[in-house]
Amino acid sequence: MIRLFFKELFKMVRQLRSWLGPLSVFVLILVAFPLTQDIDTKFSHQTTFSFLWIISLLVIMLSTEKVFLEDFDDGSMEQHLLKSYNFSDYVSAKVTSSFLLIGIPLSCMSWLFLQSAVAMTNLNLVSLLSFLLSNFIFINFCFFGNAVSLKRGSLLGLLIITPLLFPVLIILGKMLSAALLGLDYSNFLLLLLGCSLISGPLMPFVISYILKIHLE
Amino acid sequence: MIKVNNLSFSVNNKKLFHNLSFAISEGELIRISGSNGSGKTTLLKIMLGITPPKKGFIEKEFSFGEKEFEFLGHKNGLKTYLSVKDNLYLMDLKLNDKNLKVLNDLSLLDLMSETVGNLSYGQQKKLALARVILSKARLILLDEPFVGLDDDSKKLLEKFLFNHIKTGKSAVITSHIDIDLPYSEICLDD
Repeated sequence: MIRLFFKELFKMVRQLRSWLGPLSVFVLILVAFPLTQDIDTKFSHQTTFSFLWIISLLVIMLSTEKVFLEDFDDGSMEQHLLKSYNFSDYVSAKVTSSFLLIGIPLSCMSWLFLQSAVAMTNLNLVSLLSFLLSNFIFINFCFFGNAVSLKRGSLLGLLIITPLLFPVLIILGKMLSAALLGLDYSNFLLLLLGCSLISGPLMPFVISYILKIHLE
Repeated sequence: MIKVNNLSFSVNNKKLFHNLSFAISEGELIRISGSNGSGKTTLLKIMLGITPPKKGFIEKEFSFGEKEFEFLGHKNGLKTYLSVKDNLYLMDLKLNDKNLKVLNDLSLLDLMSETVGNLSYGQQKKLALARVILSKARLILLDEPFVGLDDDSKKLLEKFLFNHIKTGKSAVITSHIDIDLPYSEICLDD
Protein backbone atom coordinates (compact mmCIF):
# COMPACT_ATOMS: atom_id res chain seq x y z
CA MET A 1 0.00 0.00 0.00
CA ILE A 2 2.80 2.43 0.93
CA ARG A 3 4.75 1.49 -2.21
CA LEU A 4 1.60 2.02 -4.25
CA PHE A 5 1.10 5.44 -2.65
CA PHE A 6 4.66 6.49 -3.48
CA LYS A 7 4.22 5.33 -7.06
CA GLU A 8 1.03 7.39 -7.43
CA LEU A 9 2.77 10.34 -5.83
CA PHE A 10 5.71 9.87 -8.21
CA LYS A 11 3.37 9.89 -11.22
CA MET A 12 1.56 12.99 -9.98
CA VAL A 13 4.78 14.86 -9.27
CA ARG A 14 5.95 14.09 -12.81
CA GLN A 15 2.62 15.31 -14.18
CA LEU A 16 2.80 18.84 -12.83
CA ARG A 17 0.30 20.19 -15.33
CA SER A 18 -2.56 18.08 -13.98
CA TRP A 19 -2.51 19.56 -10.46
CA LEU A 20 -0.25 22.60 -10.48
CA GLY A 21 -2.37 24.19 -13.23
CA PRO A 22 -5.62 24.08 -11.20
CA LEU A 23 -3.75 25.26 -8.07
CA SER A 24 -2.44 28.24 -10.08
CA VAL A 25 -6.01 28.97 -11.18
CA PHE A 26 -6.99 28.95 -7.50
CA VAL A 27 -4.25 31.46 -6.65
CA LEU A 28 -5.25 33.68 -9.57
CA ILE A 29 -8.88 33.68 -8.42
CA LEU A 30 -7.80 34.56 -4.87
CA VAL A 31 -5.80 37.46 -6.25
CA ALA A 32 -8.52 38.57 -8.66
CA PHE A 33 -11.46 38.35 -6.24
CA PRO A 34 -10.50 41.33 -4.02
CA LEU A 35 -9.76 43.42 -7.14
CA THR A 36 -13.44 43.34 -8.01
CA GLN A 37 -14.37 44.88 -4.66
CA ASP A 38 -14.12 48.46 -3.44
CA ILE A 39 -11.01 49.15 -1.45
CA ASP A 40 -12.99 49.92 1.71
CA THR A 41 -15.28 46.88 1.37
CA LYS A 42 -15.08 44.53 4.29
CA PHE A 43 -15.62 40.91 3.39
CA SER A 44 -18.18 39.12 5.45
CA HIS A 45 -17.09 35.87 7.05
CA GLN A 46 -19.93 33.94 5.46
CA THR A 47 -19.21 35.21 1.93
CA THR A 48 -15.49 34.58 2.19
CA PHE A 49 -15.92 31.05 3.51
CA SER A 50 -18.56 30.20 0.90
CA PHE A 51 -16.37 31.64 -1.84
CA LEU A 52 -13.38 29.57 -0.70
CA TRP A 53 -15.36 26.34 -0.37
CA ILE A 54 -16.93 26.65 -3.79
CA ILE A 55 -13.67 27.63 -5.50
CA SER A 56 -11.88 24.74 -3.76
CA LEU A 57 -14.57 22.36 -4.98
CA LEU A 58 -14.24 23.62 -8.55
CA VAL A 59 -10.43 23.41 -8.46
CA ILE A 60 -10.60 19.85 -7.12
CA MET A 61 -13.06 18.96 -9.87
CA LEU A 62 -10.68 20.43 -12.43
CA SER A 63 -7.57 18.72 -11.08
CA THR A 64 -9.12 15.28 -10.70
CA GLU A 65 -10.94 15.37 -14.02
CA LYS A 66 -8.81 12.70 -15.72
CA VAL A 67 -7.60 10.90 -12.65
CA PHE A 68 -8.74 7.46 -13.82
CA LEU A 69 -9.03 8.04 -17.55
CA GLU A 70 -5.29 8.00 -18.18
CA ASP A 71 -4.79 4.67 -16.37
CA PHE A 72 -7.84 3.24 -18.10
CA ASP A 73 -6.66 4.29 -21.56
CA ASP A 74 -3.05 3.10 -21.24
CA GLY A 75 -3.99 -0.27 -19.69
CA SER A 76 -2.30 0.25 -16.33
CA MET A 77 -5.65 0.12 -14.51
CA GLU A 78 -6.14 -3.40 -15.88
CA GLN A 79 -2.70 -4.31 -14.52
CA HIS A 80 -3.59 -2.95 -11.07
CA LEU A 81 -6.77 -5.03 -11.04
CA LEU A 82 -4.76 -8.20 -11.68
CA LYS A 83 -2.15 -7.62 -9.00
CA SER A 84 -2.21 -9.42 -5.66
CA TYR A 85 -3.03 -6.32 -3.65
CA ASN A 86 -6.59 -5.16 -3.22
CA PHE A 87 -7.84 -3.02 -6.09
CA SER A 88 -9.28 -0.52 -3.61
CA ASP A 89 -5.71 0.08 -2.35
CA TYR A 90 -4.92 1.49 -5.78
CA VAL A 91 -7.85 3.93 -5.43
CA SER A 92 -6.84 4.80 -1.85
CA ALA A 93 -3.29 5.53 -3.01
CA LYS A 94 -4.65 7.88 -5.67
CA VAL A 95 -6.97 9.65 -3.20
CA THR A 96 -4.19 10.06 -0.65
CA SER A 97 -1.67 11.43 -3.14
CA SER A 98 -4.28 13.84 -4.51
CA PHE A 99 -5.11 15.03 -1.00
CA LEU A 100 -1.43 15.55 -0.30
CA LEU A 101 -0.68 17.49 -3.49
CA ILE A 102 -4.01 19.25 -4.02
CA GLY A 103 -6.19 19.09 -0.89
CA ILE A 104 -3.60 20.22 1.68
CA PRO A 105 -2.16 23.11 -0.41
CA LEU A 106 -5.70 24.29 -1.18
CA SER A 107 -6.60 24.21 2.51
CA CYS A 108 -3.47 26.12 3.49
CA MET A 109 -3.95 28.74 0.77
CA SER A 110 -7.63 29.16 1.71
CA TRP A 111 -6.65 29.59 5.33
CA LEU A 112 -3.99 32.17 4.47
CA PHE A 113 -6.46 34.09 2.30
CA LEU A 114 -8.94 34.03 5.15
CA GLN A 115 -6.36 35.49 7.50
CA SER A 116 -5.68 38.35 5.14
CA ALA A 117 -9.32 38.99 4.18
CA VAL A 118 -11.07 38.71 7.53
CA ALA A 119 -9.72 38.71 11.04
CA MET A 120 -10.79 35.48 12.75
CA THR A 121 -8.42 34.88 15.59
CA ASN A 122 -11.02 32.85 17.50
CA LEU A 123 -11.67 30.53 14.53
CA ASN A 124 -8.13 29.93 13.28
CA LEU A 125 -7.92 26.24 14.03
CA VAL A 126 -11.49 25.38 13.19
CA SER A 127 -11.30 27.16 9.82
CA LEU A 128 -8.16 25.24 8.83
CA LEU A 129 -9.72 21.99 10.03
CA SER A 130 -12.93 22.67 8.10
CA PHE A 131 -10.93 23.32 4.91
CA LEU A 132 -8.92 20.12 5.34
CA LEU A 133 -11.98 18.00 6.04
CA SER A 134 -14.12 19.52 3.31
CA ASN A 135 -11.36 19.18 0.72
CA PHE A 136 -10.84 15.55 1.70
CA ILE A 137 -14.56 14.88 1.23
CA PHE A 138 -14.60 16.84 -2.05
CA ILE A 139 -11.68 14.78 -3.40
CA ASN A 140 -13.38 11.50 -2.49
CA PHE A 141 -16.63 12.55 -4.15
CA CYS A 142 -14.87 13.91 -7.24
CA PHE A 143 -13.08 10.59 -7.60
CA PHE A 144 -16.43 8.87 -7.30
CA GLY A 145 -17.94 11.10 -10.01
CA ASN A 146 -14.97 10.53 -12.30
CA ALA A 147 -15.20 6.78 -11.81
CA VAL A 148 -18.90 6.77 -12.69
CA SER A 149 -18.43 8.91 -15.79
CA LEU A 150 -15.11 7.36 -16.81
CA LYS A 151 -16.05 6.76 -20.44
CA ARG A 152 -18.71 9.45 -20.75
CA GLY A 153 -16.87 12.69 -20.00
CA SER A 154 -16.40 14.60 -16.79
CA LEU A 155 -19.60 16.67 -17.12
CA LEU A 156 -21.74 13.67 -16.17
CA GLY A 157 -19.58 13.08 -13.11
CA LEU A 158 -19.96 16.72 -12.17
CA LEU A 159 -23.74 16.49 -12.43
CA ILE A 160 -23.76 13.37 -10.28
CA ILE A 161 -21.56 14.56 -7.44
CA THR A 162 -22.71 18.16 -7.07
CA PRO A 163 -26.11 17.26 -5.50
CA LEU A 164 -24.35 14.69 -3.31
CA LEU A 165 -22.12 17.43 -1.92
CA PHE A 166 -25.00 19.76 -1.01
CA PRO A 167 -25.35 18.26 2.51
CA VAL A 168 -21.62 18.77 3.11
CA LEU A 169 -21.90 22.41 2.02
CA ILE A 170 -24.94 22.87 4.28
CA ILE A 171 -23.05 21.40 7.26
CA LEU A 172 -20.13 23.73 6.54
CA GLY A 173 -22.45 26.74 6.37
CA LYS A 174 -24.26 25.79 9.57
CA MET A 175 -20.98 25.23 11.37
CA LEU A 176 -19.76 28.68 10.41
CA SER A 177 -23.06 30.33 11.39
CA ALA A 178 -22.91 28.65 14.80
CA ALA A 179 -19.29 29.71 15.28
CA LEU A 180 -20.03 33.32 14.31
CA LEU A 181 -22.97 33.48 16.71
CA GLY A 182 -20.80 32.16 19.49
CA LEU A 183 -22.76 28.91 19.70
CA ASP A 184 -21.33 25.44 20.05
CA TYR A 185 -20.18 24.35 16.58
CA SER A 186 -18.42 21.18 17.67
CA ASN A 187 -21.40 19.02 16.64
CA PHE A 188 -21.16 20.25 13.06
CA LEU A 189 -17.40 19.73 13.08
CA LEU A 190 -17.90 16.20 14.36
CA LEU A 191 -20.48 15.62 11.65
CA LEU A 192 -17.94 16.77 9.07
CA LEU A 193 -15.31 14.56 10.66
CA GLY A 194 -17.79 11.68 10.53
CA CYS A 195 -18.39 12.30 6.81
CA SER A 196 -14.61 12.20 6.23
CA LEU A 197 -14.18 9.06 8.29
CA ILE A 198 -16.97 7.33 6.39
CA SER A 199 -16.02 8.51 2.90
CA GLY A 200 -12.29 7.92 3.46
CA PRO A 201 -12.37 4.14 3.88
CA LEU A 202 -15.70 3.50 2.12
CA MET A 203 -15.27 5.45 -1.12
CA PRO A 204 -12.25 3.48 -2.41
CA PHE A 205 -14.32 0.27 -2.20
CA VAL A 206 -17.26 1.84 -4.03
CA ILE A 207 -14.99 3.44 -6.64
CA SER A 208 -13.00 0.24 -7.19
CA TYR A 209 -16.25 -1.66 -7.75
CA ILE A 210 -17.37 0.91 -10.35
CA LEU A 211 -13.97 0.77 -12.09
CA LYS A 212 -14.15 -3.03 -12.22
CA ILE A 213 -17.46 -2.74 -14.06
CA HIS A 214 -15.83 -0.38 -16.58
CA LEU A 215 -12.99 -2.86 -17.12
CA GLU A 216 -15.37 -5.73 -17.84
CA MET B 1 -2.99 -25.60 -14.15
CA ILE B 2 -6.23 -24.11 -15.47
CA LYS B 3 -9.36 -25.92 -16.61
CA VAL B 4 -11.99 -24.11 -18.65
CA ASN B 5 -15.41 -25.76 -18.43
CA ASN B 6 -18.30 -25.19 -20.86
CA LEU B 7 -17.56 -21.51 -21.23
CA SER B 8 -20.06 -19.42 -23.17
CA PHE B 9 -20.05 -15.74 -23.97
CA SER B 10 -22.17 -13.54 -26.17
CA VAL B 11 -22.30 -9.85 -26.99
CA ASN B 12 -25.63 -8.33 -28.09
CA ASN B 13 -27.07 -11.79 -28.73
CA LYS B 14 -24.09 -12.69 -30.92
CA LYS B 15 -22.45 -15.84 -29.62
CA LEU B 16 -18.68 -15.45 -29.44
CA PHE B 17 -18.08 -18.96 -28.15
CA HIS B 18 -20.36 -21.65 -26.80
CA ASN B 19 -19.59 -24.55 -24.44
CA LEU B 20 -15.85 -24.06 -24.82
CA SER B 21 -13.79 -26.45 -22.72
CA PHE B 22 -10.04 -26.92 -22.55
CA ALA B 23 -7.25 -27.32 -20.03
CA ILE B 24 -3.84 -25.75 -19.74
CA SER B 25 -1.22 -28.10 -18.37
CA GLU B 26 2.20 -27.25 -17.02
CA GLY B 27 4.78 -26.72 -19.74
CA GLU B 28 2.16 -26.06 -22.39
CA LEU B 29 1.78 -23.20 -24.84
CA ILE B 30 -1.76 -22.48 -25.99
CA ARG B 31 -2.42 -20.33 -29.00
CA ILE B 32 -5.88 -18.85 -29.32
CA SER B 33 -6.70 -18.06 -32.91
CA GLY B 34 -9.70 -16.67 -34.70
CA SER B 35 -10.84 -13.86 -36.91
CA ASN B 36 -11.31 -10.29 -35.71
CA GLY B 37 -14.13 -10.06 -33.18
CA SER B 38 -14.18 -13.80 -32.57
CA GLY B 39 -13.62 -13.29 -28.83
CA LYS B 40 -9.90 -13.98 -28.34
CA THR B 41 -9.32 -11.02 -26.02
CA THR B 42 -12.62 -11.69 -24.23
CA LEU B 43 -11.56 -15.29 -23.60
CA LEU B 44 -8.28 -14.07 -22.07
CA LYS B 45 -10.17 -11.57 -19.93
CA ILE B 46 -12.54 -14.30 -18.73
CA MET B 47 -9.57 -16.51 -17.87
CA LEU B 48 -8.08 -13.61 -15.91
CA GLY B 49 -11.33 -13.00 -14.07
CA ILE B 50 -11.79 -9.48 -15.43
CA THR B 51 -14.89 -10.34 -17.44
CA PRO B 52 -17.46 -12.76 -15.99
CA PRO B 53 -18.60 -15.52 -18.38
CA LYS B 54 -22.27 -15.84 -19.35
CA LYS B 55 -22.09 -19.56 -18.69
CA GLY B 56 -19.47 -22.04 -17.53
CA PHE B 57 -16.64 -21.74 -15.04
CA ILE B 58 -12.89 -21.87 -14.71
CA GLU B 59 -10.97 -24.04 -12.27
CA LYS B 60 -7.58 -22.69 -11.26
CA GLU B 61 -4.85 -24.42 -9.35
CA PHE B 62 -3.90 -21.08 -7.84
CA SER B 63 -5.53 -17.75 -7.25
CA PHE B 64 -4.36 -15.09 -9.63
CA GLY B 65 -1.72 -13.14 -7.79
CA GLU B 66 1.29 -11.01 -8.56
CA LYS B 67 3.83 -13.79 -8.71
CA GLU B 68 1.66 -16.49 -10.28
CA PHE B 69 0.87 -14.93 -13.62
CA GLU B 70 1.62 -12.03 -15.89
CA PHE B 71 -0.63 -10.49 -18.51
CA LEU B 72 -0.03 -8.12 -21.38
CA GLY B 73 -3.02 -6.97 -23.36
CA HIS B 74 -3.48 -4.68 -26.35
CA LYS B 75 -2.67 -1.73 -24.13
CA ASN B 76 0.90 -1.64 -22.89
CA GLY B 77 0.27 -0.14 -19.47
CA LEU B 78 3.07 2.40 -19.98
CA LYS B 79 3.15 6.03 -18.95
CA THR B 80 4.07 7.93 -22.07
CA TYR B 81 5.08 11.10 -20.18
CA LEU B 82 7.68 9.19 -18.15
CA SER B 83 11.10 7.87 -19.17
CA VAL B 84 11.86 4.20 -19.78
CA LYS B 85 13.68 4.10 -16.43
CA ASP B 86 10.70 5.63 -14.59
CA ASN B 87 8.36 3.09 -16.21
CA LEU B 88 10.64 0.27 -15.07
CA TYR B 89 10.38 1.67 -11.52
CA LEU B 90 6.57 1.60 -11.80
CA MET B 91 6.82 -2.02 -13.00
CA ASP B 92 8.90 -2.88 -9.90
CA LEU B 93 11.82 -3.93 -12.10
CA LYS B 94 15.19 -3.40 -10.50
CA LEU B 95 18.18 -2.53 -12.67
CA ASN B 96 20.32 -5.53 -11.71
CA ASP B 97 22.68 -7.37 -14.07
CA LYS B 98 20.12 -9.97 -15.14
CA ASN B 99 17.46 -7.39 -15.94
CA LEU B 100 19.94 -5.10 -17.69
CA LYS B 101 20.99 -7.99 -19.94
CA VAL B 102 17.39 -8.60 -21.03
CA LEU B 103 16.89 -4.87 -21.59
CA ASN B 104 20.06 -4.85 -23.67
CA ASP B 105 18.78 -7.81 -25.72
CA LEU B 106 15.59 -5.84 -26.31
CA SER B 107 17.70 -2.81 -27.42
CA LEU B 108 16.22 -0.72 -24.61
CA LEU B 109 19.37 -0.05 -22.61
CA ASP B 110 20.36 3.00 -24.65
CA LEU B 111 16.86 4.42 -24.31
CA MET B 112 16.66 4.49 -20.52
CA SER B 113 16.40 8.29 -20.28
CA GLU B 114 14.11 8.60 -23.30
CA THR B 115 10.48 9.57 -22.76
CA VAL B 116 8.26 6.62 -23.65
CA GLY B 117 6.03 8.85 -25.77
CA ASN B 118 8.98 9.47 -28.08
CA LEU B 119 9.57 5.75 -28.68
CA SER B 120 8.19 3.86 -31.65
CA TYR B 121 5.26 1.47 -31.21
CA GLY B 122 7.62 -1.51 -31.43
CA GLN B 123 9.97 -0.09 -28.80
CA GLN B 124 7.05 0.58 -26.48
CA LYS B 125 5.82 -2.97 -27.02
CA LYS B 126 9.29 -4.31 -26.16
CA LEU B 127 9.35 -2.27 -22.94
CA ALA B 128 5.95 -3.67 -21.98
CA LEU B 129 7.16 -7.18 -22.82
CA ALA B 130 10.21 -6.66 -20.58
CA ARG B 131 7.84 -6.81 -17.59
CA VAL B 132 6.55 -10.19 -18.75
CA ILE B 133 9.97 -11.57 -19.68
CA LEU B 134 11.55 -10.55 -16.38
CA SER B 135 8.72 -11.92 -14.26
CA LYS B 136 8.84 -15.30 -12.54
CA ALA B 137 5.20 -16.01 -13.31
CA ARG B 138 3.98 -19.60 -13.71
CA LEU B 139 1.50 -18.58 -16.35
CA ILE B 140 1.74 -15.78 -18.84
CA LEU B 141 -1.12 -14.53 -20.98
CA LEU B 142 -0.27 -12.37 -23.98
CA ASP B 143 -2.69 -10.70 -26.34
CA GLU B 144 -1.13 -10.29 -29.80
CA PRO B 145 2.41 -10.03 -28.42
CA PHE B 146 4.16 -10.13 -31.82
CA VAL B 147 2.37 -7.14 -33.33
CA GLY B 148 4.81 -4.29 -33.96
CA LEU B 149 7.93 -6.32 -33.21
CA ASP B 150 10.89 -6.55 -35.60
CA ASP B 151 12.34 -9.95 -36.55
CA ASP B 152 15.04 -9.91 -33.86
CA SER B 153 12.57 -9.03 -31.11
CA LYS B 154 10.11 -11.65 -32.40
CA LYS B 155 12.84 -14.30 -32.21
CA LEU B 156 13.79 -13.12 -28.74
CA LEU B 157 10.17 -13.42 -27.55
CA GLU B 158 9.88 -16.86 -29.17
CA LYS B 159 13.07 -17.91 -27.41
CA PHE B 160 11.71 -16.62 -24.11
CA LEU B 161 8.42 -18.49 -24.61
CA PHE B 162 10.32 -21.67 -25.52
CA ASN B 163 12.46 -21.47 -22.36
CA HIS B 164 9.41 -20.57 -20.32
CA ILE B 165 7.45 -23.67 -21.27
CA LYS B 166 10.60 -25.85 -21.11
CA THR B 167 10.84 -25.08 -17.38
CA GLY B 168 7.34 -26.44 -16.83
CA LYS B 169 5.57 -23.09 -16.90
CA SER B 170 2.68 -22.28 -19.21
CA ALA B 171 1.66 -19.56 -21.63
CA VAL B 172 -1.47 -18.53 -23.48
CA ILE B 173 -1.16 -16.24 -26.46
CA THR B 174 -3.46 -14.86 -29.09
CA SER B 175 -1.72 -14.20 -32.38
CA HIS B 176 -2.40 -13.68 -36.04
CA ILE B 177 1.29 -14.05 -36.78
CA ASP B 178 2.74 -17.52 -37.29
CA ILE B 179 5.11 -18.61 -34.56
CA ASP B 180 7.95 -21.07 -34.67
CA LEU B 181 7.03 -22.91 -31.45
CA PRO B 182 5.19 -26.11 -30.51
CA TYR B 183 1.70 -25.16 -29.34
CA SER B 184 -1.85 -26.40 -28.89
CA GLU B 185 -4.39 -24.35 -30.79
CA ILE B 186 -7.84 -23.19 -29.80
CA CYS B 187 -9.67 -21.77 -32.79
CA LEU B 188 -12.66 -19.58 -31.98
CA ASP B 189 -13.97 -19.48 -35.56
CA ASP B 190 -16.93 -21.76 -36.23
